[in-house]
Amino acid sequence: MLNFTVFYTVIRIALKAIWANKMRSSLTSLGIIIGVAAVIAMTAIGTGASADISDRIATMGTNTLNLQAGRASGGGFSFAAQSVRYLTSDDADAIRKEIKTANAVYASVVAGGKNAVYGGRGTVARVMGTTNDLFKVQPWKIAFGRLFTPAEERSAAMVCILGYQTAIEMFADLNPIDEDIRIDGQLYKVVGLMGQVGDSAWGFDPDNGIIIPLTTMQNKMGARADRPKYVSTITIQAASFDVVNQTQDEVLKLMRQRHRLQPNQEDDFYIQNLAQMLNTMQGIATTMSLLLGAIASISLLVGGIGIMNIMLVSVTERTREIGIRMAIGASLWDIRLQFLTEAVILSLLGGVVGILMGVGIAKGIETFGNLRVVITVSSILLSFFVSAFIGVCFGFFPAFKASKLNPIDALRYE
Amino acid sequence: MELIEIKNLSKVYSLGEVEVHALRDVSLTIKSGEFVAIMGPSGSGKSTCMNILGCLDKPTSGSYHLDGIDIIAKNLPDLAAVRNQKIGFVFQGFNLLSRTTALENVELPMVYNKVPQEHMHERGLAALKQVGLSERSGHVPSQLSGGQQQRVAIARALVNDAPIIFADEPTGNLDTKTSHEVMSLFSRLNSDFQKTVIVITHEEDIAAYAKRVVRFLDGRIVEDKIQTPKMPEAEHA
Repeated sequence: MLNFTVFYTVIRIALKAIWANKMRSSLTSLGIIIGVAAVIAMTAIGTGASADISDRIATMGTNTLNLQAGRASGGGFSFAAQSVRYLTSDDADAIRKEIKTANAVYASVVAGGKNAVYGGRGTVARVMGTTNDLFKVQPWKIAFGRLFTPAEERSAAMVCILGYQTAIEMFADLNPIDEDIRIDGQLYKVVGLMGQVGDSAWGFDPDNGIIIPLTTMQNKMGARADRPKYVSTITIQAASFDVVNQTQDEVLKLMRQRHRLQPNQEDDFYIQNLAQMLNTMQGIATTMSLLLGAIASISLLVGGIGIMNIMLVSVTERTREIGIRMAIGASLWDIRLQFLTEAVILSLLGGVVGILMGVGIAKGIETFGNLRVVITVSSILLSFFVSAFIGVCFGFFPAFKASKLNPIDALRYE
Repeated sequence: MELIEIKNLSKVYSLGEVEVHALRDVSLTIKSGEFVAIMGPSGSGKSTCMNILGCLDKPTSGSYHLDGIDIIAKNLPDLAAVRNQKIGFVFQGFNLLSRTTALENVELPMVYNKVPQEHMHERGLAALKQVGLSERSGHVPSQLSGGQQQRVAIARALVNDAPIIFADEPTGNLDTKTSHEVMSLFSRLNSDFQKTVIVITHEEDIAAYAKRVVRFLDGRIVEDKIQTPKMPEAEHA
């Protein structure tokens, strides 16, 4: 039936017909080209965004938990009688002591928009009060100078560590170590300088920030009589990614115990799990790229309908040719195969050009739009096979119509 | 054995309420190697008869055997293979594929007969040589004269070694001189290659080349006579 000679001839005839109508053929393929290019570019952007999110969260550490006061449900008003208890340094100490699966724990308080001045130069920076344990959890490094000493941490010493950008703004290229600066008028000695980090974590940008001992924050800078030992966040690093959920459960239990919550009472704190967040955000990104792909594939569908239209016109236009072929001995399937092949070649050509164009667009967006794109082999293969499939689907009706022509009438057709 | 044998053939077209009897109880036998001219005014049924004999259409009733094959028993789509292997068509309007070279046009019946690629060129060129057009194998129809186009069509009818050549008004679009050249070619194919040639025409001087003339009128055969054919003209390219 379908030996090589027939196949070769059918393809040759189809290519000839396509080549004979170059302009019309390229316009026909345009629909598929745009559709495939759109699918490839869109999924590349979607996948790029997803990979970007993963990477950002990975640098923040997927095995860290954030404990904060308040209700996880957030949103609306709660008229529950109980007051929300704030977190304290004692909570952090208890977690450090009790939770065996925790690697490192640090508590922190962030104060925003403080004026920091050295000599005539100044800047506005967020100030974080925390302990040296922060540097075990966050990938922030001391470039010059040192961490806080235990004595400084205990005694609420007036010392600070500067962020990379903060130091540049205040000291330009001078060495800030052991210099005194004023933060909100109070004198602090610079003991350390952080290297450039780039990413911010939990609303604190280390490059544009200043770090002081937690005790200093609690007793000097942000001191409030109504809440001694106040901390806003306790960050817990689990020993590994596998035990994150276990750590979370243990912290939850411990905190309920410490806050003396009855079983019927809701938590008055909440725990953010980065691993969970990663999953959620990746889910959103995947949905996004699916959505983008779905929108783009509508244009593929429209392209397919375009091919069908042109093929129907082509069948009418070539009625006489079909008649000649039938009289000479072309069978129903010879005719069907010919028009089907033409439609498939048109859509495959469109597919290949579309893939090249889609990759080009994605690369262009990467270069000029400064957006991360990831071109996946699967999206290329998918577009290719989808365009072939469209060719078969939308080519069949015109091919069928051609084969149904009566040879006598077709030969007489002018 | 008879090459073509039709018995009591009728064809009725129903145009809404009206029934048109295109063929009424026609019986005809044609032996291998005959050169027959089918004549008759338009509406006489000769074209309908041609379509049925050419396996392009099926009769309403009657029997038709072609080279021993029961044509009535086959479906119209299945007749494509019969047309391909038993019949070569030559039409009034040449019916060559435009934008396609003479050689490729001639090769077309072999494409549908699944002839291997390597034999196609050889046989196609041989057929073109038979009609004296070897030099023009690479030309497309628009670059050929009417007579040359009709000769390409004849080569196409020959290439599959079909025993029968059906020519429907083959000279209708040609001038007198070219008409006689084409008819001479048919004569030679009949006498030198034992092809059975059936020509439909309404011109007496074209029918003169045939050995037998069958006349149709109102869907019936009114005359069937043997005649001395006009001799073909000397061959010239």
